[in-house]
Amino acid sequence: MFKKIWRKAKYFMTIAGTEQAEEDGEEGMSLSPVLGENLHSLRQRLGKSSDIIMRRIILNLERKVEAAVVYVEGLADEKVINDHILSPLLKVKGTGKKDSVKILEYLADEVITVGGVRRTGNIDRLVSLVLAGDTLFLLDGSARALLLSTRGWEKRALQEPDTEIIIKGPRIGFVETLRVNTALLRREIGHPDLTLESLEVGAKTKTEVCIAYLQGLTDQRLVDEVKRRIRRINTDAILAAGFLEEFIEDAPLSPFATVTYTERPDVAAAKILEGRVAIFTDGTPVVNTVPALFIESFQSPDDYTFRFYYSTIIRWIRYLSFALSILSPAIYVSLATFHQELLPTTLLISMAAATEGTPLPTVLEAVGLGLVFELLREAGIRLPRPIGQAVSIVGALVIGEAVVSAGLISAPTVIVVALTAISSFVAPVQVGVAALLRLGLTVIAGLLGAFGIVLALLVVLVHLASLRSFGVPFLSPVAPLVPRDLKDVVVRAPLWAMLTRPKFIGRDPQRQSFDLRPAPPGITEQKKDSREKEGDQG
Amino acid sequence: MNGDSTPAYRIDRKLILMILVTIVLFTGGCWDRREMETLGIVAGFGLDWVEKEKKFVLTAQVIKPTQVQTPHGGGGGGGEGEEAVWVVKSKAETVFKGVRGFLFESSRRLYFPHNQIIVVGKDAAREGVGPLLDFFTRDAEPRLSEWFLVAEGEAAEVLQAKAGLEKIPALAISRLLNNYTGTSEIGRSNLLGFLTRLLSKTTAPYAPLIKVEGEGAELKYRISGTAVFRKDKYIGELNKRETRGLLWLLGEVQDGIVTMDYGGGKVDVELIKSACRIRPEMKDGSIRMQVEIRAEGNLGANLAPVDFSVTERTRDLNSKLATAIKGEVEASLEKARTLQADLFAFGEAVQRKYPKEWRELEKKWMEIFPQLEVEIDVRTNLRLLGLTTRPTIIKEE
Repeated sequence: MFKKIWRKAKYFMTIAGTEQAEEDGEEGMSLSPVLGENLHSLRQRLGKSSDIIMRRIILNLERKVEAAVVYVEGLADEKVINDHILSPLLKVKGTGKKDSVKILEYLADEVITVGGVRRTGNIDRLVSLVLAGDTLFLLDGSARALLLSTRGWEKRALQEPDTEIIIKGPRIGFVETLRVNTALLRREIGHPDLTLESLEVGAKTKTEVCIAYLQGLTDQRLVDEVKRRIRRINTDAILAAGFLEEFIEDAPLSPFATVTYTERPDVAAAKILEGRVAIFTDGTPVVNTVPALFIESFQSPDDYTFRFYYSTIIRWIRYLSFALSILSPAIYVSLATFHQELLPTTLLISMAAATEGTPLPTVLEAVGLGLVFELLREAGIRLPRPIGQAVSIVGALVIGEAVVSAGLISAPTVIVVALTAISSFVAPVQVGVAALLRLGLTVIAGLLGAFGIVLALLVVLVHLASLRSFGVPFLSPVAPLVPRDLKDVVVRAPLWAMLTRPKFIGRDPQRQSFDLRPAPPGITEQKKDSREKEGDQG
Repeated sequence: MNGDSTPAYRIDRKLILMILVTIVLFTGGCWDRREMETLGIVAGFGLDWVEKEKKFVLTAQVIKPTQVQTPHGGGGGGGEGEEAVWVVKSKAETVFKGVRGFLFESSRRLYFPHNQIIVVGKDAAREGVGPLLDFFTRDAEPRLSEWFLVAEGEAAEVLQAKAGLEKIPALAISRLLNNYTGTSEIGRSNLLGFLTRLLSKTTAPYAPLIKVEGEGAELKYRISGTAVFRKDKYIGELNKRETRGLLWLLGEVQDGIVTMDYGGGKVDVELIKSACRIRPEMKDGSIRMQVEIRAEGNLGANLAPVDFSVTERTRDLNSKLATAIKGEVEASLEKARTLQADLFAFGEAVQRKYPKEWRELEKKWMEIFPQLEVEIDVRTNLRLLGLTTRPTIIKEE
């Protein structure tokens, strides 16, 4: 059945593909030397949009030459156009050239004071660049035109991302503009090996997608694979990074995301430095990185800026809270309805006292209250902030207090669901998965008790172990076990002890030299001496 | 639509499998689901024997959770002063039938895993506890860690008695037994320990004796000694001194007070820890038990006008302590000899050391045991004298 649907989808995809090909066939239309004709065909192309500005000017050279400047209002920086294109052009008195083509070259080389100048005669290319914010300069008598880079639209100011707040790191986040984002990355990684390659995705949106990696450090096969997967996307719209994620994932049906994301340049840089590939999508302040490992959901940039003892504890708290967030309602339900013998006597008595007189079975209480929590969360996110707070107050009061005192739901259930709610926020990347697993586990715990929980966890574990992200096992370095890489999983080793990069990612395993552990100067000298002696002997 | 029908067929099979698995989950699941409010949590359980009717009387102390803990504005209702437990009885020819018999009276099925104590009436204990305990070892719910006690009178009385501090009397008894170390004069025994001794061919099981005092609603209980069994039948009891003698030999004395006369007053030594080693020795066919007891203690109270900061007196007190301990052990041994009950697992010690000879000895062990020569070596170590070194009572010169 699924296969049939799949085939149909494939069929439509091929049709779409051929249409695309036909469109591509129209390419190659070139400019004519007559300015009026060019402007006419441009107008046909661009329609009657009011934001397209076509400014005709007359250049007072040896003779009067007609010219035109075309740009999109709002996308192109008008100040640049005024100061660096129009005003120098209108001041030119003579060029000493007769031929229009030569005049164009002269203007480009000696008059226009804009950084990026491209020459083209292809209408399609020129239209798409104008729509991207460049300014087109057409000269009567020339079949080639100048494309001047004047991209400059209103941008959001750089600010700390709301989703990844940290205490001791840089307070800067990506914005919606791709070039700003790549610039932020360049500021993090100064090495010339940092390579940025651009691709265009989306038949209608023409979204620029940029992949970033460190030449030499990143496996070339990985880079090729990322490019291949992005190139095969043949859809009309890529509106956000999330769209791209779904098209390039390894396990499209899995609840677990095998492509991760960040809103922070420092995080993106760290991942690239480990040998990953970052994917920038224009229009989204989020950068995807691949390959993604499960363990990355539990790492925070603050882990590496705080003392490593504390970071290790915090990391374990994150693991624990993730386990709690998926398991606690399920365990609660199984204990309350199947395995009362496992509870300490006094706990059983107080729990039994609390459930006395409540109408619903514990499973329904837990599932229902869990859904109410999801509802509150969703309402809190979507609503404007002041109203969102009101919702949470009403939720906390009504759900937490009234429901218990009315005897509809037992207090322990409310406590368990509240605990679950808090712990689910600790690993923000996995919130969606956690909600799904929690629901499934709770239901199965209500059906089969602890046996059911174990069964379901096994299924999840097998699934996780079978996942791969761009060729890297999703659970690595835990399964398959890479003892060396546990330095950033089981503990957060001090930075001077993290000598190697993750084994499965990147090509050059050694990150730094061996003797970086700080020590008083005398001792370092002695050590060095003895090491040198040993070296001599060896 | 598609030329070959095989893949579609395969998918259908997968679908059917998925549906089947789901059905299995929803129909097979839930069968032993029990909501907490449907449980009658048993805290204590009593067993008596009515000779006239040849029937067991079972008494269950069932917890009323809402009375133990009233949640804030919870639906439970019920005012202050109501009892936290419900004592219910059932009568039947077998224990298991009796347990089900509770359902004629109780709206909730009795739930045994949290049972704290099993009390057996003295009459039932005389008849033999074997038939009583079968249910508790065979059924999956009761635990072997519950305490086993013998009531001086009827077990039902014990379960009706009130605890001074706890709302649930059975829980109070269980906690009381957990704190036996304060005196080391209670021979406590959980079901597992009792059964282990019962299964042994020579070792005698024991259990604490519990006595109910007072009348009507003011019933109270106290531990009064230790009941001694031969096989599964009650044959006699130890008093508190003899009980500690038993615990010395079992190495279970931890804490406790030894009171002695010294220099015209009483002196208490608080024990800290003890250890015991039993070594059987066979010479010319006769067996001798060598018992080594090590004990450490602090001076706990000095009501005698003696200054123990003088080393010789401490040394003297130390040897007196050893004598006192030896006295306790000998009292216990004497009682065991008269009861012909090998409470100290001497037989098993012999079996471990002389497994070949044991085959012969085992048959006549009950005759050998009372005549057994026991050599007791007590070594004590008096450590601290407390915060005041000098006696509070000064001898007037």
